[in-house]
Amino acid sequence: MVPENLYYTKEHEWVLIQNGIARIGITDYAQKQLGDVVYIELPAQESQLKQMTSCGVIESVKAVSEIYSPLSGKVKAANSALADHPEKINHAPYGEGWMFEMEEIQENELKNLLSAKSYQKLIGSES
Amino acid sequence: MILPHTESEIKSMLSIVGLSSLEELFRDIPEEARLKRDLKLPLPMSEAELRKKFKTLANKNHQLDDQISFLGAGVYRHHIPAIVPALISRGEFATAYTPYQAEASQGTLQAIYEYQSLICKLMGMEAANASHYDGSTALAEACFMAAEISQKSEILISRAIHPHYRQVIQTYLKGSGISLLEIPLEEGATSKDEVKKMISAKTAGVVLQSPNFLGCIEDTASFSELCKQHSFPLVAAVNEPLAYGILKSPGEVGADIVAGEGQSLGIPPSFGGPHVGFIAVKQQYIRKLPGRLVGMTLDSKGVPAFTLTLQAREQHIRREKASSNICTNQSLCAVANAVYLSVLGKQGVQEAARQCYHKAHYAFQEWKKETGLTLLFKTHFFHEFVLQSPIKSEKFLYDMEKQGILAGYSLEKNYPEFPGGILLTVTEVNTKEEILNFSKKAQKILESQKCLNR
Amino acid sequence: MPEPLIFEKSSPERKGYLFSDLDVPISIDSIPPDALREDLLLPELSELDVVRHFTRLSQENFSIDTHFYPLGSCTMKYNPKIHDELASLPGFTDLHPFQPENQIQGALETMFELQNLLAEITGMDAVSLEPAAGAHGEFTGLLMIQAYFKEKNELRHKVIVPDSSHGTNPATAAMAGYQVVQVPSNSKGGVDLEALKQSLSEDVAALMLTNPNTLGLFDENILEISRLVHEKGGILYYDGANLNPILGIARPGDFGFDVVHVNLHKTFTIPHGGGGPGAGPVGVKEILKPYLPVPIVKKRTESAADWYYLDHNCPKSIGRIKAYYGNFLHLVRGLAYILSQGAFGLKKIAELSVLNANYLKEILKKYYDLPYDRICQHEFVLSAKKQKEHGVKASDIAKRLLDYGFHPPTVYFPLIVEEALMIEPTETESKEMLDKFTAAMIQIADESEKNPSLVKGAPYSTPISRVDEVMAARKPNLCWC
Repeated sequence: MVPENLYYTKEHEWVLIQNGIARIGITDYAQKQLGDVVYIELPAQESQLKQMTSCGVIESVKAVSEIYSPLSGKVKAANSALADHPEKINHAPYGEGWMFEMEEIQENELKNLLSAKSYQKLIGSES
Repeated sequence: MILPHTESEIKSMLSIVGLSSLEELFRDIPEEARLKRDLKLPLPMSEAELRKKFKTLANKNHQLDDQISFLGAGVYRHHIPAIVPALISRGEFATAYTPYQAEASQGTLQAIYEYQSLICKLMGMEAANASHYDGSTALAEACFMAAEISQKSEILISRAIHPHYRQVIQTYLKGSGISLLEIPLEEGATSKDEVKKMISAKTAGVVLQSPNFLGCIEDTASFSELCKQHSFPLVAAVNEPLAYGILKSPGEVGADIVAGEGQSLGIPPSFGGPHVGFIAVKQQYIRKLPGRLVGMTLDSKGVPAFTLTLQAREQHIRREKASSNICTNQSLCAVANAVYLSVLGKQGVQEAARQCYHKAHYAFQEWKKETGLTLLFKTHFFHEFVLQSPIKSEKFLYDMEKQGILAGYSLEKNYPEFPGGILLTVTEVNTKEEILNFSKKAQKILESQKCLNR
Repeated sequence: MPEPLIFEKSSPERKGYLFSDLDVPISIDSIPPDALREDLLLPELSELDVVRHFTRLSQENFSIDTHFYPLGSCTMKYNPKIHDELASLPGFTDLHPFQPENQIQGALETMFELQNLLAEITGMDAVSLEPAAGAHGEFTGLLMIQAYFKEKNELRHKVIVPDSSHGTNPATAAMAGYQVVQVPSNSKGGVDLEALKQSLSEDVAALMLTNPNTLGLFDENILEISRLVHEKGGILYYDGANLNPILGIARPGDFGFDVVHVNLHKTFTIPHGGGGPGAGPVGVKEILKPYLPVPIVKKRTESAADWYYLDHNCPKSIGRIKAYYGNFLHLVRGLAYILSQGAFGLKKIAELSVLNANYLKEILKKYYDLPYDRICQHEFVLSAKKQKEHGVKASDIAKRLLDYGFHPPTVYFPLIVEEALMIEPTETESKEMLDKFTAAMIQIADESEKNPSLVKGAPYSTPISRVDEVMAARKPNLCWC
């Protein structure tokens, strides 16, 4: 089962909202589909993102996928540990493998995201 | 060449396929789409006939070795050790495909890894791709890289870059939204004052070459300073890699990307191809490199092994988002470069460069003394330099050719600002006798011209 | 790594090549000291060291000369040795691109003849030999299309490619500044006509198509596709990667294509060289002729003897696409091949390449899933679906084939077939070789069922075992230091 307390996108990002800050990563399902992650390109700090636009890239040996920003807002921090240890995304996608944090987010955009239940349903249909 | 199938085999194979004739194999091709006649081709030739035909064609060309040549201008004659053609014509190298199956391709992979490393050593860089089509296309892709790195849209390119290369870049940039501006020259070298005036908020990078197309050694380091101040990359172009046997490498003088031609390293002039391009960069730009890359890793038993890597940059995975569309490269020529650099080694490359330098300088002094031809630019040169002909350069070259000497490349077409300018190249292949011979013949031609003028 | 790196075999001060003594006085003009290089970290070996090193490396390769190499989409046919001999003639190799026209007549004649023969074979009106490879030819083609519409003042910013296309097609379109639109395949492996109709508009510059496609199937709707594209004013681009099976049978120019690139290193048997060099001539119909890259080889016939020249005076041309005149020595090889075959020979090549593929397909379809079960052209695509049920993937089968002495087929391409194994035997393989190959494939199918771990652990007989690609990509080591 996917964690209950998160929001999800159709592109397999998760979002955790805490004190107005959004933390973003990719789901366990997504990391399994990709296989061993070898490289990640994250949005620069301070950059302004729009909801569901591409803001980074995640690569495995024989596949590559875009990272979409689940919300609009400003990038507060990127998980710099991933540069040297992209495998954290495989080992702990919801924990140490988080990708970046955003501030100045618009909470009304959360309604465009999926709940844990709808996301589970989505991957149920894909898998 | 004859195919192996016997008639009875064809019959038995057709019966397995469930067909009664070869024509039926093509039943998916609509009738109206088919060719209803035979192709209009000459009758097939036997091996002996082919040999005769191509010998006749080859003999209609005048090979360089049968005359005296001081022609360079981006394609150079150097001695090629016999082992270079011998090794690269081994079927195991020549008839293998791209090394996608690492376990069946360690030979190609290791040779290319060594090639990448040797190019890096010579160029003073940290990573090189597995080769590109040629110097011109490698440089064009390097311009794309510069724009990608700086996220800007205007490339400043020295007018002393090979004219073909500048034309190819112009073609490549069509449709990309990137524009190309030419930096004017001063004494045959790229003008620092002019480039300072040209730099703007749109500048994506500067392209410079040393020794440049006109033979002059540029002050690359100060251009590099300028690029660093404005945080865009310096792209160093290369026509003559052997120059770095004695000259500082592009990396040592501050280039961020080096792109150019490897023909000098073991590949004959071949009427312009196949040659081999390369692109080398500092480590931080490896993911922006176009084309294949070979990396060292381990196999499942922990033995060092080689494989194609960072493939997610490439077209077969990333499709329209790939860093380039390149697939086929010039692998076998890259192996030729690796063999050449290995057998010449440190001392051989230094010696080749040293001989080019001294012979070119001897030739220039000798020709100045004996013929009165003068150097057009005051800038230092390596093995190529521009002489000022008192008569039309095309005329001088024509008369010299009648005397059995290819006396260089006329600048008139591509550099109309240098009328009478002739670009001459002297390498280790040219002998003292050839140099003196040039003096004699040129003297006569120039003398007779003077008489005519009187 | 059974053979150490060349750098590891180096010994300070050892020499491998002797130059003649410098026969001129040392120049007194000195290079400015700050331009002089201090150190050069190249290896130092003897000639024999270098010969053994690269000979041993070569022996670690599979190649056409040593192994059956049914790599789909790559047309790994035998490369006749006579072509190498001809391309090595000093009259061709020892020739400078800037020699005066009177000195290069043989080279220009060679190119002129090849241009004409390729135009006849593809059904095109003119051919440029400049592009160095297939993808380079695609780029040239799209730039010509761009120039054509620019002159007509039509703003078309899209290029359509099928989902089964080679990756170079969308990558090239993007490089030329086009937006890429992908159309799906239909159940028979061809272009989905309904989807195509919906994608076509006045915005579309071109449809890029490989036919036979990457499933090895000839698109029966090709004439309808051509009609649809042209009706909207678009251009039809032919990716010539799979030209082999229709040589002398049908010509792209006759079934609607306006521009074609040909891979001389596939269909016209230039050795692949471990990844290149290749040659990717481009042919066009009359409408695109003014845009061909410069220079073009032409013949003047007014004087007594034929005279060949390089024409740079083409005002509408897209410009230069490569320095000098293409991969010339490969053009020699290509011409030699066509001349050795003639019309009958080329047709035979097509027929027997298709027969070989169908023969393998009919035998192997009993053991492997065949998603598109119909007559194929030069290649076909199996799926390792059945084997996957036992945990054996297409890549495992590929590795196991190495133990049986065969280079594997292309795997995981086209992307639209799960666990794809794309097999192209080519016409130069004999029935005996095909039978040995099917025996190995059948054996592997059996192993996959009964002893899957054996297959998953393969290869066992190669110089190294499976490589750690994850490590290679995470910590890229691209240069010895």
